[in-house]
Amino acid sequence: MAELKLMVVTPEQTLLDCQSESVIVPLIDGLMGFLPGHAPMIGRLGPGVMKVQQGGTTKRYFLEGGFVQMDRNVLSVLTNIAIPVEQLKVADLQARLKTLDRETPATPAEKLAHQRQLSQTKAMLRAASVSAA
Amino acid sequence: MANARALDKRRKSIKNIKKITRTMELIATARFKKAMDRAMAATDYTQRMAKVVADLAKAGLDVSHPLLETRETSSKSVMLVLTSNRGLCGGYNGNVLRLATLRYRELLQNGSVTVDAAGKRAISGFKFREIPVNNGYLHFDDQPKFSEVDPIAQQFLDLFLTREIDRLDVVYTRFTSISRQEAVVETLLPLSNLAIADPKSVQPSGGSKDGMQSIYEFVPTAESILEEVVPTSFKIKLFKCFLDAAVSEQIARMVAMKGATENASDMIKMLSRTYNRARQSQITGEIMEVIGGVEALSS
Repeated sequence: MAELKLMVVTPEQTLLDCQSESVIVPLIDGLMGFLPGHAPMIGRLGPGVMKVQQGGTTKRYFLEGGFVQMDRNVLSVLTNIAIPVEQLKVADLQARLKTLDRETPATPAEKLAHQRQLSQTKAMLRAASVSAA
Repeated sequence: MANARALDKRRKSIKNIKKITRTMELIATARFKKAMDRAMAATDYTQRMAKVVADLAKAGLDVSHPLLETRETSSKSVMLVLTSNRGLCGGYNGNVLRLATLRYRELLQNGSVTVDAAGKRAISGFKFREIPVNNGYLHFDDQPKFSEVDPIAQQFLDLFLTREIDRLDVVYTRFTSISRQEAVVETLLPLSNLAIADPKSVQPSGGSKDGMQSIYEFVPTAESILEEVVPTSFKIKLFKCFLDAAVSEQIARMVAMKGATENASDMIKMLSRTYNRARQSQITGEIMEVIGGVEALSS
């Protein structure tokens, strides 16, 4: 069976370097699937879950932003955060969401940061609760 | 002639210090290797990032972004100074602080300056120089994490975009090679260029057939990707500053401790010589006394 090479790279480490049959990544405006031999493309990632199909098993990772590049059957995923979905705990995230809801940012810069944290936590929560269900 | 016993005592204490500096050297070496590995791991990301930037550039995109614009007035600047939490690393912190103080004076002439400092040494150094520090970060050790640098980077981005600041300078020790690190000032905001790693690494990746324009399809659009590329490359640059500083710190400590160990060895050698001489003259003196006593009795 044809396979594509998947590289998931964060600034700290190369998280994944493996062969895969199909990969679904969360782009900023929706999911996109990659099969071996996909045409060259560069995409902007959004927050969401990446699914990696490997010999009958599917691994899920939470990604937050970054890029994806497909070139000569190598799919490079550059992202700031990549966490296996199993490591996200619904209860922890809900607690964090609650504390964030209570905070009131003062300056415009803080407001931006607060919004970002809020949407990040919400996206993580979505990813975690989908996999738990 | 000095007292032989006092000399011996001193020699012993120097031997103890030598043991300590030797151990610190070994620890610094181990930490340096770890920090170096991390820095190497980060280059994988930067190289791929540079490739994306190169491919974007080939698409003939007009590169413009608020973060890339130079502002006419840069009256409100921020200076971020990266030093270590611990001392005993030679001129590492001193060099950075000296450069930072100079830059601070320069920037003051253009307007207000806020100083952010990472590392205990910078905070106490600025206190001594009576320069107020706005934010002090103490949680960076020899392995800075991206998740720790990211909020700081994001905070600078937000401040810059909301026009609270016009300029960001980072003062840190750049790592060029194992034998060469130097304190530098780098202006990260506004971003001067997008290429993160050295330009050499960008060129070979742009080597697909000439004449052909970009082979890539951009999803959703090249503009949208650019919008993400610019802040990301800023963050990566800042992260790289932190990594460089961590690697350089360990090298500086390694070199300083190596010097200290060598100096201790020299000192022990010298003290041993003086000690032996003192001991010998003491024995000679005692023999003379004995002989003198014997002669006094026999006469």
